Amino acid sequence: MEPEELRIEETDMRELVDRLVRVGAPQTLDALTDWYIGIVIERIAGEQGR
Amino acid sequence: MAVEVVIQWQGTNDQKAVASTVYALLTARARFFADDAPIRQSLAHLLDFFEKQHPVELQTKEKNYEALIEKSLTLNEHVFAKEQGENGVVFVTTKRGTPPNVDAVDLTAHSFRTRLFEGAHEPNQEELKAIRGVAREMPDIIMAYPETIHPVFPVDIPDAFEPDEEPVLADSAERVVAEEQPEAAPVDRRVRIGNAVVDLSGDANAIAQEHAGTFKELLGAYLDEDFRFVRFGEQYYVEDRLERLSKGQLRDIKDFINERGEPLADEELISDALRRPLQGADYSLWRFTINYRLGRERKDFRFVGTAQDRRWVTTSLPPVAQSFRKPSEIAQDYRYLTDPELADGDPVTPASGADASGRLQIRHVLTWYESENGVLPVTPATQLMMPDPLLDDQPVVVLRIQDPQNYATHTAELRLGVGNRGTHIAGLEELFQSTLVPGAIFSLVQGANSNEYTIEYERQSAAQESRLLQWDERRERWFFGPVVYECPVDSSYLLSEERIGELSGRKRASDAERKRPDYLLQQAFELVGERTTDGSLTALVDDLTPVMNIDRPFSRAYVESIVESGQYPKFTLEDPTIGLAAYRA
Repeated sequence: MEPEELRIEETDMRELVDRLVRVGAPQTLDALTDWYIGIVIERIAGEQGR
Repeated sequence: MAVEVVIQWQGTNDQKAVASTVYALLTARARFFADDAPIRQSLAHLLDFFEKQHPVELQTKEKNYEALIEKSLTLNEHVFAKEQGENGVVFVTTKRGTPPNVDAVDLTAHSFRTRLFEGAHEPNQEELKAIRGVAREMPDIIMAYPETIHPVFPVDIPDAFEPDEEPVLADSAERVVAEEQPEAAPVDRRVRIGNAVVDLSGDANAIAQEHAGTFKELLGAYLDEDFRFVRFGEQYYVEDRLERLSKGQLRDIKDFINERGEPLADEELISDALRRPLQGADYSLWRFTINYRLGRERKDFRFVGTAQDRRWVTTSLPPVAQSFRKPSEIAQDYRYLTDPELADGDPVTPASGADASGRLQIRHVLTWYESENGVLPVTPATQLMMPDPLLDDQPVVVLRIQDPQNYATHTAELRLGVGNRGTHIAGLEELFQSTLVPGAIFSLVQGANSNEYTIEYERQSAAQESRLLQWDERRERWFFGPVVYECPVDSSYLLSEERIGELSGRKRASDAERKRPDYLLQQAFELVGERTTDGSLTALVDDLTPVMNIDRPFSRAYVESIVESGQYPKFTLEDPTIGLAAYRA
């Protein structure tokens, strides 16, 4: 089956905002990318695990 | 105090709506429950409620409410737990928006009530007397406990307010059985990002390592469009969590920079202009804040720093460079640097010295144009040792150039070329005119930071004196005057009276003449060329180039291209091996 296009969800961005605020310091795009990959993996696993 | 719970609902829009409605229903019913107390409701009751009330306007024509409710709540298992009760399926949640903690076996172990009565026992008769302070025997009627009073009329407590039963702990044996069940077939977790297909079922670190670039591109494009995020350079933060600078604070910063009269680092602005400690926990956030906020004030502030050294100037600060020609003229003069074939320059080599590991340097011969205007060309090769601008639209990077032989530090500007403007360094006129002469050989060596350099030259054992080309501003004429110098020189670039004495008393080339390379080349031939028997003038390109560089910058390759381009038939390249050119009038 053809894999679906990955879309950035609003929940992903909210989580990213939350993490940035929790850390309390600006982050580079590299760091945010690492966070985002983790968030997406969790989300996709959660959606498919149910 | 009410706890505000934000829940990320999963599933389709209908499923999200059903799940959130059930949650609202259950929490409304359990208004006076503890936050972690289980709130139960059977699927049958929920079905009854949905069929009678229709609280959700479904987008799809779903008929089977029971399946929809069960699927919606099962999908949101981070909120609802599913139990099998005596009367069918029961869903349970808490006011915290999570399933009850079934693993917490004894939730009251540390409660005030438990600890208050720890070790307590029923007092015996003797202890009772001691407690009541009586020594002699008292009638039983006095010592007796009052009878428990039972209500005369039974109180009918509605079902809705009946306390829920204690959390039912899953039997450990059942859990073991559940864990031992065979795993489900692996699911396809591949997604497509542009043309790349990424499998998200593996280890997060491995995925990040392999596909970081793809994710970074996707996320970077999104963040730049999302108004919640703000960016300065490579860093991002949340806009509404940043401090705002008042007009008074911005004025203080502007006055502070203007008073100091030089580009200032963000750290200085934080500590000295805003008087905030540099050791505070919020220092990095303040650093980001001041850079981001000043970046928004384009009318008053200009960023001239690098990623490591973030410096600001005000738009009212006098320019670093006080060159003979205007900055725009110089940038136009260096437009040939945008053509890689014409922009030959000094080779970049590793710097020598004990602390020079990884640093680069160039060896350069100063031309008359560079000396007069305090500039240096930045060729594609030299660009390797120049700092990168932090911002996309940053036109200038401030450089600090040390002159250890004179114990001086100079502030210069790396002016980045855009369009037909060539990249060059400006602001070195004081350094060049006080220390070096046109024709001087020196090295520009990278420093510890990306915007720091050292200028080095070998001081000659004995000072030399020559009559060198100079410009008389009052008479607006060239003349040759005595100049004493201690730096090593390249004699072909040393514009002495012996070589081009004919220039004395002449005027500069006009602006129109300056724009014609053929005119400047013709003048150069007449100054350094040798007259041949057929009346033509011949000269080496190496000799022509320094003279061409009086009014306008030219590289050797540029001069050679003018000679052999065919655009000007009066010039020919007679011997390409030694670069011998000829001019026939």
